[in-house]
Amino acid sequence: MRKFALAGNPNSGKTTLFNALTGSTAHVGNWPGVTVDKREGVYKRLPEQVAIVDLPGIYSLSPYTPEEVIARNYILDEKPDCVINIVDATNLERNLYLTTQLLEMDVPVAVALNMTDVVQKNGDKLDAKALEKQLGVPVVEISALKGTGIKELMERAYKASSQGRKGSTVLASSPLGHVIGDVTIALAGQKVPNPLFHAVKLVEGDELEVKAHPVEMETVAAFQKQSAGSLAGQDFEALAADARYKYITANFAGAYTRAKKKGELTRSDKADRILTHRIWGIPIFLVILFAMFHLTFGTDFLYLNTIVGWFNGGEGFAFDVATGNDVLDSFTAVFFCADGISTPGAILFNLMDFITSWIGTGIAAGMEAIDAAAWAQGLVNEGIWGGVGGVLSFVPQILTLFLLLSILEDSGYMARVAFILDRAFRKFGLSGRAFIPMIMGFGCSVPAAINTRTLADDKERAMTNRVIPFFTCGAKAPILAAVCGAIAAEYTGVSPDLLVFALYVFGMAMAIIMVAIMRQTTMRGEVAPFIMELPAYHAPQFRNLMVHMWDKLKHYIKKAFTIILASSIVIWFLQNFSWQWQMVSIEESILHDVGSFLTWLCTPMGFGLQLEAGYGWVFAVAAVVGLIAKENVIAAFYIIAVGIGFADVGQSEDGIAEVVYLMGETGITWQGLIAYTVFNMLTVPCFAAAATVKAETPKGKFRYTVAFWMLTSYVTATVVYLVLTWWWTAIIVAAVAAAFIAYVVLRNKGVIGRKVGSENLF
Amino acid sequence: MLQLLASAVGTVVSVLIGVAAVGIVVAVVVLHVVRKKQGKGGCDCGCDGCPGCHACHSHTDPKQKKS
Amino acid sequence: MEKKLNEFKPGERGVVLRIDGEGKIRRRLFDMGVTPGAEIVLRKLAPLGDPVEVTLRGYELTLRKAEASCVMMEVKHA
Repeated sequence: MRKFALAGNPNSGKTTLFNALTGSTAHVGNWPGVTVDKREGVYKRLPEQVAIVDLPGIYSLSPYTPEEVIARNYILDEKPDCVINIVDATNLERNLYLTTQLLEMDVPVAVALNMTDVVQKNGDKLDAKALEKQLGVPVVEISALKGTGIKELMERAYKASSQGRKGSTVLASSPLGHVIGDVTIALAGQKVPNPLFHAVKLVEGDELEVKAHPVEMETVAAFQKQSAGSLAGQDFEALAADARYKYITANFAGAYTRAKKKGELTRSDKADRILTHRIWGIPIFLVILFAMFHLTFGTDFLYLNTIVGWFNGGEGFAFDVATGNDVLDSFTAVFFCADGISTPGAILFNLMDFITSWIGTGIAAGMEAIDAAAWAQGLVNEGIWGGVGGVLSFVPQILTLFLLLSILEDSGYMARVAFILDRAFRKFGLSGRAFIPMIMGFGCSVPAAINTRTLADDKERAMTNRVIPFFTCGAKAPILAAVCGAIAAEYTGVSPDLLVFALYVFGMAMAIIMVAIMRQTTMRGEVAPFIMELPAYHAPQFRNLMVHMWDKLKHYIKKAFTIILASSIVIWFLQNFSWQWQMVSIEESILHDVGSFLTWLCTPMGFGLQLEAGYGWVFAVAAVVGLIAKENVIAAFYIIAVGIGFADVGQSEDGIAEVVYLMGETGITWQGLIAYTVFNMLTVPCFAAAATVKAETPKGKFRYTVAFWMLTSYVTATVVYLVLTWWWTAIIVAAVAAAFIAYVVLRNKGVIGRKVGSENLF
Repeated sequence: MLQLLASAVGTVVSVLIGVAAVGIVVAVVVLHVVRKKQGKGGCDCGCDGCPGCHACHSHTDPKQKKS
Repeated sequence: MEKKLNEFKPGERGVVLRIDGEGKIRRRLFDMGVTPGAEIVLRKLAPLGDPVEVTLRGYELTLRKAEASCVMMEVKHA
């Protein structure tokens, strides 16, 4: 089967093309030795099937980033039958820089001019034929998005792959042309494949090449010494880059004619003016972030009720609807209750909760009707449906969060935020680029950790990986929602979404603080450079968003009915049986014994020995099962609450009701609950996330990350509990922190040449 | 008679549930261990699984640029 | 008139004369198209003053003032 490789700049639409070509045959693997995704698939619409390999997005074939090395080595070593170079037609010059390098290899190349739909929309013109003549390889106009031109592209690529090709370089007519020619001949004489490519790279002073061909390097060095005039002592690397672009501008740039006059603003530019406004940029970002959480967790849409209340002496317009008809009341409560009009997220939660409660009641009734054994009824009603149902009721809300995050990401706004925040981030030792994986962490830590691969600096990557779990993921969100909802229910005047937002922000703040500390201690170094393309804004495609949602939904349901189901069964079993396999009350169960072991440890955090009737173990156990999946914490809450005596009356606030119940029975204070939430937010993430972070961490270093998580969560939760319960302890904490900072700063002053950021350069 | 039948159903169902429960736990554990051995797993992300799976898609589809 | 890119005001445009500095940053600048002869317009500054956004070769690039200080420009008057 022939192999075609896809190569191109990031943001050129390569992945869209890959998806269009391979459809469901695509699968993701790993490039050996490096942590970069390898995507492969099969294209089936030619006479014979063709394997497609998606190379990482790269700007050039220099050996300075893992992606570039992978792409280059793949083409040199694996010898694909054709390289399809995706070029963003709206960005021709820079894209062609890579093209000129690809052309230097002895491999068939087909250029796909992508984004022709945008070109047309802008009224600009593309002369693909001229380009083809100049480059000497097939050039096909396509729109990967719209699906046009793809068949022709593949057909021409296929044809090219049958013909073979010798490399050519645009540097032939440059001052370097002569020495390149000489070295090429030398290498060809030694039967080195792709002699031209190696020759060019050698002349450019490419590190990998120099190591591999020391003899030829001497030729180049000699040439350098000999050349008089303009070439003497020059940096050939710079010369080559310069020559390439000169050639591109002179010969290829003409293929693209603009309709718009220079300086005219596009819609994207107009949006950018506001979103990255000098003064309003950051406040707007904060509002957008807050809006995300408000729409997901809030119970008072746009705070309308509270605002009306201000004008009305404390009385909002909201009230609990009581028509006398229970069903109607419950249904109305989904959209509107004493708190106010529900936000979309709250509506979905209430609806789902309504459904799961209804199903739960149905199952319970059914079980009773057939007179199933008591233990079976318990297992199904409390264990299985309690755990799984409880988690399921959060699904719509989490999906809402994901949807909003998707919109942010797909629109291109994220890159802008990195741009805005870079300076602030730098103070803490990170580049703005690190922001993107962090925000992804709000959805799920796993893709966020994978995204850190795009961070060039090793230390930055390691630090970012460590703190990604601090960005409360979708699985932890139910914990926050339930706890904040419970506190809001018990104490008047507390807005649940504000509290949730505060906790999210706290997680972010902890991440930044820990990064700052790491920068001063174990991860000293300079901040990574920040030279990044800012792709244009575009409205996220509705279809794309829905596809994302659907996949996430499938994933969530699958998770609920496998891992969480199994965990719930196990928890129920452990809490209802003793070591002798007898069914007992909860105080004599296995769970109780195991949990009690940990209780004293949890005392400083507010959920240990101080709890009534020794119920500290409840929280400890819930946290432990959270290691399997963070949703298990809520599942455990429910199951254990029932075990203690919680009677589910099928109200429409179940996620919150059992927390309220636990508050009552265990005597945990709201401070302890907050500390508990903080603990869960900062501690070791679920196995899946931990495994992913481990994969992104150098060998042998992961144990430090685990220690980091456990230490940070334990200490922070303790501090939170102490400060919230006894306000004066804040002074002690501040003093200790100040002492620590002073110590670290003084110690670092003794280290020579330590710079944070590159401000010293000017 | 009906009573006997009813309670029989109850017992059968109960037993089935118990067996199923154990089966599920075992199946899930085995499934995950096998997947771990194969090197897969983690997010179960079909790479369209998480909307945040932008690592795999690296800035997905800048379609209508400069719209 | 010669001026470093980091000293440009929003809206100013110029042509690259040379790239000072070395190593990673230099290569990265080349790869992104910042080479002698390239025309660059400073679009804007970030809300906190740094980094900056420039337009060159038809696309938007962002870089810090420190990195921009490596780029020596010839200012073009509109």
